[in-house]
Amino acid sequence: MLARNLMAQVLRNDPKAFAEIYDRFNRLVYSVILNIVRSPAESEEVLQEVFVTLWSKRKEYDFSKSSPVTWMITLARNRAIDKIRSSEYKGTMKSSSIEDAPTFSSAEMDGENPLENALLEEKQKMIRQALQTLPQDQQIIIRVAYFEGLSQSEIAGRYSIPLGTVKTRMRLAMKKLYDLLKEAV
Amino acid sequence: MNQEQFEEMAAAYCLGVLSDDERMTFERALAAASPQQRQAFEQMRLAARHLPASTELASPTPEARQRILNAIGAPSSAPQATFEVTDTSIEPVSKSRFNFDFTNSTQFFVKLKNYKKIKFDTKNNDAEKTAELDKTYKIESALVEKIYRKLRLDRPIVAVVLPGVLFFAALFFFLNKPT
Repeated sequence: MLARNLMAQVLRNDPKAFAEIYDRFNRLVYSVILNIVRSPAESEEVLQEVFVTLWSKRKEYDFSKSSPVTWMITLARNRAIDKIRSSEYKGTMKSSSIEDAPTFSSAEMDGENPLENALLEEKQKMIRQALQTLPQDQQIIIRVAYFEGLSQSEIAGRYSIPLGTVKTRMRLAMKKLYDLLKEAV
Repeated sequence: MNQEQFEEMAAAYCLGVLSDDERMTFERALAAASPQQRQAFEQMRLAARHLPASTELASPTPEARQRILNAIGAPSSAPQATFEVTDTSIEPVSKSRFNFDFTNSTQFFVKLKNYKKIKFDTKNNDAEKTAELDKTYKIESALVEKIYRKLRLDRPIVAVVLPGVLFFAALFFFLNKPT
């Protein structure tokens, strides 16, 4: 069943549809959170917040604005960024050198459904290849902006580079990423 | 706002890193954007949508699922196998009006097959063991579903005739058993 159909059932207060949405998307949502928060235990807390919010605020979901997956990912990303910006996480962003910044690395997949993993793995591989084609400084800017929620001026401050350079790199990276992905995905 | 400035803001907007004021400024600019600017924005938005899939896939613990379902007051159930969405080699259930919907009986077979796992889940909290069983459960559930459909048990004629044939065959062998 399509995610939109499942979401429609969730809007009709169907907990089984909610459980199915969880079963289908928990890994993707959890992975996004883990990538931002870095701690499995804290990531599970955020995951729980995200899915409980999805259920409690289901009436606020607007089909015309975004797909359910995009909604969940946006919710997860925002919650995870809030988490790392909260007081207990202050000071954990140790790196201020651009060479030490996290990059889009290739990863092993843990298998549950081999076919599902194969499809996901294929897509991930293409996206990672596209990202790795970008110059390293552009990769890092996208990485810290998307997964850490740093603004352009915060990136400039963290890596001690001019704000104008950050803006240019971000713009060029996004344009190049589109050019690479339109052929690959 | 010239093209370059627009694109710089569009990139930050798509990555979700603009402040509230900047976002409102950009949305006003977007409303009055030229076709070229709008196209650049759409392209960046599309590129940003792929970023979540660049992460390493990881799984939360099985307990997380239970906690979430408990939190929303949903009845606890075993995780559903995801074969319906992903296994394209499985034929869809026929929608003929002469056919009954035997989908629920499939679920019955799946639950029966995984009785051991479900029983284990209710008794133990060993995360590692549960995760291992969970993995097996999904693969085996997909297999049961596949066999069920391959045998055409979703068709009433097969579902009714097959047990009958087996019953009469057994009866025949029983009656002809040498004394």
